[in-house]
Formats: sequence, structure tokens, C-alpha cells
Amino acid sequence: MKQEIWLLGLSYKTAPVEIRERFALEGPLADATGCVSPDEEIQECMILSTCNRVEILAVSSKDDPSPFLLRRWAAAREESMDALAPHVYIHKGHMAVRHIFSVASSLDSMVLGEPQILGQLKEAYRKALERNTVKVILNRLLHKSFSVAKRVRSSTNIAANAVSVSYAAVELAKRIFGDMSGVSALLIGAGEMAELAAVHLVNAGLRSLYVTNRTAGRASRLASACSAEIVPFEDLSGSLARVDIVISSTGAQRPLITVEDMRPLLRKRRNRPMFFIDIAVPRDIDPRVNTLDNIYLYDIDDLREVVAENQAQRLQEATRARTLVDEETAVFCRWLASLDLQPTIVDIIRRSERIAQKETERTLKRLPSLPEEQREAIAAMAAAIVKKINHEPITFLKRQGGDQDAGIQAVSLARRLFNLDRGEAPDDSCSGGEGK
Amino acid sequence: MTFEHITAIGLVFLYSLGALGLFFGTLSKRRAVNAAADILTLAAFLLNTLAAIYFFAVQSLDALSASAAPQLLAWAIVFISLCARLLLRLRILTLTATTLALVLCVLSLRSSPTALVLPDNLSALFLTLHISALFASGGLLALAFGAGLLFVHMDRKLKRKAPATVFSQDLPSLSSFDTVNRYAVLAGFPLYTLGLTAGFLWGPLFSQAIENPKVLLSLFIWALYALLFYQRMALGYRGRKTAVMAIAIFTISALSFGIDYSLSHHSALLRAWP
Repeated sequence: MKQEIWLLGLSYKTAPVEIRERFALEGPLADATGCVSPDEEIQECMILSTCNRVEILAVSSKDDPSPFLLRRWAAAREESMDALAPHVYIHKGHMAVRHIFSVASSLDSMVLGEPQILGQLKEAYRKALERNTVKVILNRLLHKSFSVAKRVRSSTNIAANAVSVSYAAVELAKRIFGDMSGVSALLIGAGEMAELAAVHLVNAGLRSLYVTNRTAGRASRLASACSAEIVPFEDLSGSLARVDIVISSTGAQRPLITVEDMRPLLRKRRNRPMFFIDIAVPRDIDPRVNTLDNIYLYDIDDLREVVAENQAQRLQEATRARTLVDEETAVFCRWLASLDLQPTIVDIIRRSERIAQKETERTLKRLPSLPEEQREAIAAMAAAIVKKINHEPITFLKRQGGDQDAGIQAVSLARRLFNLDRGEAPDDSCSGGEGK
Repeated sequence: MTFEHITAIGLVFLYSLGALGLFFGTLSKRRAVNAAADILTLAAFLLNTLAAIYFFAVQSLDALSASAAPQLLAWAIVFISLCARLLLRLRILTLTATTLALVLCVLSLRSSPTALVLPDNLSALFLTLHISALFASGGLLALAFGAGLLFVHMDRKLKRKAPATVFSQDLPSLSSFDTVNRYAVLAGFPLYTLGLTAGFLWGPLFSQAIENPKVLLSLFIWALYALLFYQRMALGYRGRKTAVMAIAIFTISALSFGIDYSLSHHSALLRAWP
């Protein structure tokens, strides 16, 4: 019976968070339930469980293994199948391959192009390898999905620009300063978004972070949360002369920093560039500050606009990325179809016969005086040699075909040995330790 | 057809392919296009180097023809941009350098290959120093120009909060361009001063200084360059103003170079020399 790839799952697109929580299959739970154990119904299996999706990837020779898998899934969470089934999508064969390639390339993610999903997929694959639940087909499928994700990332701009306000602020800072190791920042006031931006800046390699607040207690809390140094609020202008990035989010009703404050400060700073991120409403920084040379001011609306434009750009890139995914899906499915025994035997025979015929013609060209009878004898001899050489590998393949797993492995090996896919077959080499 | 013309044809061909490749490689981000562009640019630079070696083997700087001069200047510009690329990892500046080199090689193709024959008493060390120092400072000024253009482009985008385009999103930071600009001015101004001083000490330039527009223009460029140098080094200026000034100085220098060509200024000076 032909083996087929199946994918069952639920994601943020089909199930609310309460359902995703109820049916998550993570770590010890998946182990304990045996949900991923390949058995008679399922030959290979792998679980991907993240906060946004739970998916079971399986290889089965049954007509429809989905009821069986759903039953096991629901049982593993001690829930009813009726609660699970309405939220589940089921893909088979070509569509399952396409889906997993899209997931790996972050085309199915909530935030298009986000990089975490690839790491999560690699981790899921690593666990499946440890449990020994993946074999030839899923091995190749997963390795291929990692390379597809890499190709999508390098050939498109799907992950090029930030799609969150805090990341957008960090990206802008990098466009101004480049290397962040010589840059220092000042956080004025407290606010969730400002704090998040500060944390991202620190993670980007910021040299030093200062915090200031009218209330000393809040400044102290922030300083310990972000490993920052406290500076007195009264010394704001002195601090501005020292820092390169200012993130402001106070509740002040009037601007804290005006263009008149900044002019002398710029001279004092010897025109070193400054980047102001004003997240406060009403704004803390006079918008005219942006008119000064070497000062760049972005308020919350500017940052949101940057994010919206980046999101639109990612959507455009997703169309290109989907074309790549379709191409790769077709290549993989061709390889999958070739794993049947009969087409492989036919391919081996045809290839050998082609070689024999070519070589015979070449030899006979060099012997033009040879009588027709002898020419036919040479051709027959070449055909007989090929037949005899092919006999053993073909017998071996047929013998292995009795056992499904061994048969697929043997067919896969034969196709590579005889180069039947002309380099089109997905690489299943486990280099680089991905998922191992 | 002279050797300079043959190499100029080869250089125009290779530099134009290199510049186009660098441009489309930057836009498309295709590794193959970028690699091909790099190979073509290096091939052009190699040919440029071989032509320069041949020139020095058979002639000397004080017998510089109108077609050899732009090729040597193109070599200096590309060499300095490649050094900047190696040291500061600024690939994009190779694009501006190859474009300028292309313009110079086209100029070389259209110029007279006849070498300027100087009387023995004029062929002196000062002339060699004059030409080599000015070519080196020209290369550095071209680097400052390229960095300045890209700085102004990025600064404008950041000030206007314009979205990052395919071209601008992979550009190095504003600070990198400012740093390149700073180094180029720091090294370029003393060389320009040296070149100009050597020219005046050489003789013909000094005697004709007042009535010749090229010489006056050179002095004007020197004054602007000195101002930029002072602002950079003493006042600590940086950013848009210095970038704009570097662009302006390069543009006026290019004009001055053009005037020198169209008026055959140096030949005229020599003809007037008693």
C-alpha cells in the first residue's frame, strides 16, 4: 500500500486560545500518551506544538488515518473528539507538504516572516528523532522544509523589516548608529512599550542604559528591571548631552524637551547624532526638534506607520515566497512519488539500457568495417551485461519491498545510488546538527 | 588605435558591467548577481592596474596624455573604494566608485592619446608629486562624495520617516557613512594641499596663477576643503552639513577637471611658458 503524508492541526486561524490550550501536546504529555508512537496505522509521526498551533505530521499507508489520530489526540488530553474536530484542518499528500513548507517559512504565522517558528519546528523534529518516530519520508520532508525556509528568507524580504513598534525603534536606531556597542540610551518615564524598546536596545548590544523618573521609586524599579543606571530627573539636560538615544513616555502635559533646549546641547555634543523615540501622549518632545541637523525624532504614530508599511511589504513578499514554496512542493512530491518500487525498477532498467546503447553505438562507430552480424552480437552482449548487472539490485529491491519501511529505505537509497532524480531529490543529509 | 584607447574600451566595458551588476545586485539581493558584479569590478580594476603599470614602464607621470590621465584617476578612485570596502565593509561605495571610473574611462576614450612633451627643465619631481598627490586626493574626495550622497539620501529618509526601500534597507548606518566621509577628508585635504603646493612650486602654474581660471578654481576648492577640514577636525562638525559640503567640493573639482580638459589648460600653460 502506498504511504501518504498526512497533517492534522489547529492553529490561531481555526481555534481560539482556550481551545489551543486544551489541545496542546507538549513535552512530557506527548511522551506519556504515546500519541507520537508509530504503530500499525501510522508509520512515521511528529508533533509540532507552539502557542499558535498544534500539528501532527504523520505518514500512513491507511486510506484515512485522521479519525485514528484525532481519537489519540483527544484521548491524550482527556478531552472529547467532538470538542476537537471542529477546529482541526486536515491536509493530505501534496497539500500537507505545502503546508509544512509554509509553516517553516513563516508564511502561516500570525506575524508573517517571524523567525521563531523555524526554531520550534527544528526542536519538534529533534524530539521526534530522539523518540525514533521519524524515518525516511519525514526525515527528508523536515530537512527539505528547513532548506525551503532558508531559501525563502534569503530570496525574499519576508523578514526584512520590523513589525512591532519596539523592534521598529531598534531597527531605526541601528540605521542611524550601526554598531550599538558605543551607544547609550536614556529612558524617561515608565511605560510598557518604552520599557520593551529599552530591553530590545539592551539586547542589541547597547553600551549603557540610564533611567530617570519624577518618582524615584519607579525609576529604581525600572533600573533594576533593565539593568540600568538611575539619573536624577532634575539633571535631564545634563543627561541628554551624554546619551545618543532617548526613549520618553511620561505623563507630562507639556513637552519636556524643546528645540530651544536642544540647540545648545548639540554644540555641547559636538553634533553627535541623537535619536528620540517619543511614545508619550501628549508628546514629551517638541516635534520641531526633528528639524535640527543630526537629530531624528519618531513619535508613536511614526513608529506605527513604519510598522504598517513593513507589514504591507511583508505581505507583498509573501506572494513571491508562496511561489517558491509551490516550486519546492512539486519537487518534493516528485521524489515522494518515485519512492514506489515499480517506477524505480523501471527507471534503473531504462537508465542502464540507455547507457549500454550509447556505449555500443560509440564502439561500433570506431569499427566501421565490422559485418552486420558481429555488430548485432556486440549490441546483444552489452544488453545482456546490463541485464545481469541489474538483476541483483532489482531482486534486492523486490525482497526489501515486502517490509514497508525497509522497502522505502532501499528505494530511496537505490534512487540516489543510480542518480535517478538527477540531483532533484531533496537532501536528507543530517549535516549541521539541525534537529539532531 | 593606441594602447590607451584599447584599454579604455576594455575598461568602459568592464566598469559598465560592474556598475550595472552592483546596482542590480543591490536591488535584487541575488547572490549570483552580486558575485558576478564583484568579479567584473575586480577584472576592471586588474586591467586598470595593468594599464597603469604599462604606462609607468614606458612613460612617466610628467608625460601624461589626455587619455591616460582619466584612467589613472579611475584607478585611484576604485583602489581607494576597494580599500574602504575591505577596512570598513562598505560594499555600496564600490558602486559609486565604479560609476565614476566608468565616466572617466569614457572621457579617456574620447581624449587625445598624444603625450605632453615637456622641456627637460620642466620635467621635475614637483610635477610628479603634483599629479600623484592630486590623483590620490581625487580618489579620497570621490569616496567622501559617495559616502556623502548616501548619507544625505538616508538622512532625508529618516527625517521624512519614509519607509525603507529595497535599496535603502540594506545600506550601512548613517554613522558609517559619516565615518568614511571624515577619514576621506582627514587624508584627502593634506594630499590636496601637497598636490597644489607642488604644482605652484613647479613653475608654470605659479607664474600664470592670477589670470588662469583653473588655478583660481583650484584655490577656491582648496579654501572650501580647508573650511571642511577645519569644521571636521577643530569644530567637530559631522552629519548632513559636512556630507553636503563634501558633495559640493567634489562637484566643483569634477567641473575643474572638466575645464582642464576642455581648455587643455596645462598645454596652454606650457605653450605660454618662455
